[in-house]
Amino acid sequence: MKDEAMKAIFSHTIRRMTLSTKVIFFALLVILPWIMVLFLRLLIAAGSIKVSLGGVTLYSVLILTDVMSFMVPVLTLYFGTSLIADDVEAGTLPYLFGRPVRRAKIYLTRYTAMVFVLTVGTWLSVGGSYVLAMAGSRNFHRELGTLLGDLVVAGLSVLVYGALFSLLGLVLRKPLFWSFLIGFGWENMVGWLPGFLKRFTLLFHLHTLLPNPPGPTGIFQNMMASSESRFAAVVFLGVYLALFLLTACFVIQRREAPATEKGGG
Amino acid sequence: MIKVQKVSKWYGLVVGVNRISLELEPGVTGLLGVNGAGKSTLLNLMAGLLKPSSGSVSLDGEKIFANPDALRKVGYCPSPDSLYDDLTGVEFLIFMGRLSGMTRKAALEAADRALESVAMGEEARKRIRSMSKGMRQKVKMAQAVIHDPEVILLDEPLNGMDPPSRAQTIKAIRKWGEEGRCVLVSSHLLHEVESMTSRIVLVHHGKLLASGEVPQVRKAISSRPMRIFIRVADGRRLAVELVAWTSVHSVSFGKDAGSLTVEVTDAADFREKLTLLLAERETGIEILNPLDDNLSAVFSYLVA
Repeated sequence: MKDEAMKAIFSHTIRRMTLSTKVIFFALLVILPWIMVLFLRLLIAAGSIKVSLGGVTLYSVLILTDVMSFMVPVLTLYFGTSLIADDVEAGTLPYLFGRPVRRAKIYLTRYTAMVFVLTVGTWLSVGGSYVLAMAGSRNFHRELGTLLGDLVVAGLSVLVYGALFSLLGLVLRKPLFWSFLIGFGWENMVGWLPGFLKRFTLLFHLHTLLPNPPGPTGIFQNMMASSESRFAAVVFLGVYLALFLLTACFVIQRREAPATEKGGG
Repeated sequence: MIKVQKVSKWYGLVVGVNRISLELEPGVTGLLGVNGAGKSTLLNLMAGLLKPSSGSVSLDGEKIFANPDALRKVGYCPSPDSLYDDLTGVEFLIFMGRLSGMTRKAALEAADRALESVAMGEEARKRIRSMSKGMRQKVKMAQAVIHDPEVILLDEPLNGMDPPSRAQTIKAIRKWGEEGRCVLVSSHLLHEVESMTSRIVLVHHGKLLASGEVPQVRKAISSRPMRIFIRVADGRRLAVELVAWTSVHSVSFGKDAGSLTVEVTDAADFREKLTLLLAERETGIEILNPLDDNLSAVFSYLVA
């Protein structure tokens, strides 16, 4: 990164994400899958879980249900909607928009910094879950390809969900409410419906790309089972990503950022 | 230079500013108006943060709104007390400097210069969160000048400052004006503006009421006769002469017969005749003082 303004925005965004109280919430979500793995392994060891649940299955279930369907949407929703909205709320946006920097550049740099931090966190979560789930298993090394694939998909999901929620944070007055509705209503409900509609969710395409989804053993798994190719999933996600980012750049370029206070002249 | 041409800004049905046109000249100009007059809206438009609903704001021929080339030449100190509280004053200034394209090292040097210009020293190394209102104001002002802009827009810069800080800040603002920068300072406190400049832009209900040097503006208010206080040995004799002049609207006595308040409709004619009178004979005039040739009077006449 040669541009000094971009470097400044990048480091400031990272600082804001990691040196504030937000980091506690972030850390809790990162370690949540680890706690779940340990808890499930304890239950398995104690014989409380009757079904056979190997390390790979345990890990894969967690990646799909916790990391992809919960952790990544929650983290990207939390940090994405506040990417610019925090400055609006704090009244600091005029300092950014009053400087000789293209607004699209401000947004894209902030977005990149957010994706960087969240990807590192998500990778820690996925990697830790793998180690904890597979520890002691003979398949530990054999499933490293699965881990690698999961890391790629996790990074991709941060990328697209981050773009979606940062766009919603820019265009909506109450971004948290609507983002929750989209992130957990639309994404999780429509993603399970049969037919073409689920292609309008991100989760469906991300699920397609997961290297080792849990076996289709029940009705829900059958419904969720993807019928699209990985190539199509990548294309869909690429189009969504470009659409979200371009729309956000368009919106921010036209956005006003007055420095006003109640009763001011 | 910065040019505002027939600019209006509406917020739904509410008019923020209404067809304002002005050109900012080098030096300090005071932007006056009561709360809600449209001062901040006008400054936000000139700082490129608001897009005009109609008309245009341009700097050296370039539109300002969201235009980095134009914004490079503008420094803006907003009125709200909003800052990045988790940074120190110096860190904040370096951040602002780097956003203006400076390297970290250049930004640090520029921050030192900017802080010196607003008379702020070691206090700037504190976290902004722990600074007093006055110190925060100085940090806001320093960020407005860190990139050495041609145009400096200051929205209520003296708010919350103690008297010594006010004096230092006024000195800094005057210096920027003397350096040939276009400085526009908004305030609703007339004595503050008077201490910085005699050139004003007066807005009220979103409209431009007057602009120019205070005495010129005063002269232009023809609906209000100018009031002049005269202390003279023989008030009655002078009053008899004055009421005969067409430029004199009225003469009233004060507590004693030697104190007169003269209402003048044509100041130039009055001055000419008074000069002739003084040359003709000894009038015994001790004090001759215009009562409403000041900002406060101009403001009250135009806004009331």
